[in-house]
Amino acid sequence: MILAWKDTVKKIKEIIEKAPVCYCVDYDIPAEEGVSEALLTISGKTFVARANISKIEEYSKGSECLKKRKDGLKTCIKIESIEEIQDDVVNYEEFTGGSIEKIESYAFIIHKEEAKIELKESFEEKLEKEVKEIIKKAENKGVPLPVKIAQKISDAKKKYGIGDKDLDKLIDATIEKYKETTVDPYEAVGIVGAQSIGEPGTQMTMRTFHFAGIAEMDVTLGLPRLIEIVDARKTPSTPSMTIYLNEKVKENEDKAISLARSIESTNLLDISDIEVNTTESFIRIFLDKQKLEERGLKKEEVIAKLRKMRMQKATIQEEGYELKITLEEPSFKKLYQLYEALKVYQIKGLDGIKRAIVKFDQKAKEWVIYTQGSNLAGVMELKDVDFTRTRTNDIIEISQVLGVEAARMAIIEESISTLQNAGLNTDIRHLMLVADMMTFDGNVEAIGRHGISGKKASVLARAAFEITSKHLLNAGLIGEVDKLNGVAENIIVGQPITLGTGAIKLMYKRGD
Amino acid sequence: MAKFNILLHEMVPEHILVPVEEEGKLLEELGISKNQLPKIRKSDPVIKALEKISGDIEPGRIVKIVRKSRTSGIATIYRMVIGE
Amino acid sequence: MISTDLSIDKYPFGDIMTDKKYSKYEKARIVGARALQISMGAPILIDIPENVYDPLRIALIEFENDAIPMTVKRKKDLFKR
Repeated sequence: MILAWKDTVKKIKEIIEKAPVCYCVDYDIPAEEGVSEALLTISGKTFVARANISKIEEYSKGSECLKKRKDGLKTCIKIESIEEIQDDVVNYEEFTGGSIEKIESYAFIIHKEEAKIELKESFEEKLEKEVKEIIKKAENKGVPLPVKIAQKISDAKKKYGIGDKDLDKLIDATIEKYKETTVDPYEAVGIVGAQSIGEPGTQMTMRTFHFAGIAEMDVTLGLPRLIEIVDARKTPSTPSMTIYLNEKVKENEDKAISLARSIESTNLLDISDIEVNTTESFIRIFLDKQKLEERGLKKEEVIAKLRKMRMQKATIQEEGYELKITLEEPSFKKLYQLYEALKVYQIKGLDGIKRAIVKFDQKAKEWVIYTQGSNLAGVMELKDVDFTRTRTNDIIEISQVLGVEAARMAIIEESISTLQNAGLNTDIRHLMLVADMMTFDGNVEAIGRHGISGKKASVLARAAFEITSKHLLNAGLIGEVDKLNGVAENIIVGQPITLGTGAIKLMYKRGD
Repeated sequence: MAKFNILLHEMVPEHILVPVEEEGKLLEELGISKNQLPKIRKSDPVIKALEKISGDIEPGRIVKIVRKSRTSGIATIYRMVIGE
Repeated sequence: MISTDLSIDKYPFGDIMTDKKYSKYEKARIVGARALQISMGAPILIDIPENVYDPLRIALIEFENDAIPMTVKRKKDLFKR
């Protein structure tokens, strides 16, 4: 454990100058065992100094030491040596005392637990030997056959007992068919994709029945959801998570329920009624016994949590299930500020998770938690959660926690499942193209003015899309060059477009 | 960093840093220049995790990504690391 | 900027198309251009069955017999700047 406290630049400089020294502070620090290190911060954002300490003891008058204040000193910290450092507060976890960002007096902190980072087992190595052989054979014939097709050939070989000679023939035939299915160069894949998604989209009813529930839980589906995905909204209208449990506890219903309860974020207002008494200047909180039980909370926990809350100096009185908060210096304004703060004060749970329910998955024989609201990073850190499978429908959150590639995967999975839910069978390749374009830049970008359409290289293409005069004026001002590589600009100029037959240049064969 | 290894998440495909010496040959094979590759940000969580394994990754490096694909089983693509 | 590499030995679009001589767009372009010439009175280069009058049909037959004196100019490094 490490002791941390906040101090001024002047004091820290003084300590560094005079070390080793005895430093006296104006608050009580319990003498915890095994504390030999201390970190000092000025702003609460980074630690600027690390000190080796030998003793934390009660302050006694007359001892020679450096003082934080002139009077009211309570504890002496013996600093043996001190050095300047730069360390992020984020790397530490609070233990007791206030949170690190808001250290007022002191805190005991520990190094944040960190996962060992190692690579996943490579897919390629996991392939069967036969599959690899088939891929190699096809490669020798000049065609890189997809793994999935090679897998199928290998399965067929096993099933029907195909010999080596016939296998060669089979591979040849497969290659022939495979070539037929490949897209020719200059094919307008984007337009084909747009139509293939757009046409079934018209079949989706506009706004009705777009909600479907897994046990009382609303999830946006259909057209609104599809638009949401393609627009790359910051937060989806109904964020939700699917949380899977670890191998050990996944069949344990009690564990699942208690976990679901513990992540549900509970505000004070959820479990009580709050009343402001302006004439006598106090706030009364009526805790609801039944609601407390529902959420698995105890009265003492709530009170302890309230005492930790940062508010003006106030006293909390208990009268059964009634709590009375009186301010030391009451004023009408302060009272209402406190009331507003109390209403949204989080008693427990994870930020953003409004509700969590537990369901048994018959197929996989395990308990799964579904949540309303999403907090991927928070949930993945929990002990009993199988973080490798846990997912959310918030694509932007995925890109922040798991990276662009995972976000690309999420876009594909989310959009294909929305379409399939509506009974539409769009080829997944079109959606892959959309996802590829949306994540091309390393970020998830919307399709449209603010996203990829607004970032086209060509001025004319951008002008053709929206706000024509603005784009043309800007291009004129900075002397932009249009290389006429795209489709829209070539149509504007009156040339054949650079797709399909328009992209082919003819020449005469030299006479023989 | 977090308490979990994001590289193990089923939605995160394999990311492999391409050695600098092999970049030229790779681009020759693909027939494009480096800037035409899709990008991945240096601030991307996966790049940060890779940095824990192989040290600082400078912008301009190429990352090989081996995805599980519904259509072809396994698909390999490349992304170039950019700043920010 | 546009490179004028006239060799069509190596297809620039990957290995898959090596043995296919023309893509569907190239075929359409060649046949289309030739049909236009024929419709405007260009001499036909091979023997055509008597009942065929349509210039497009004639161009297609010529194409199949590899008689059209045209080919495509491919930009080898199409995507390179």
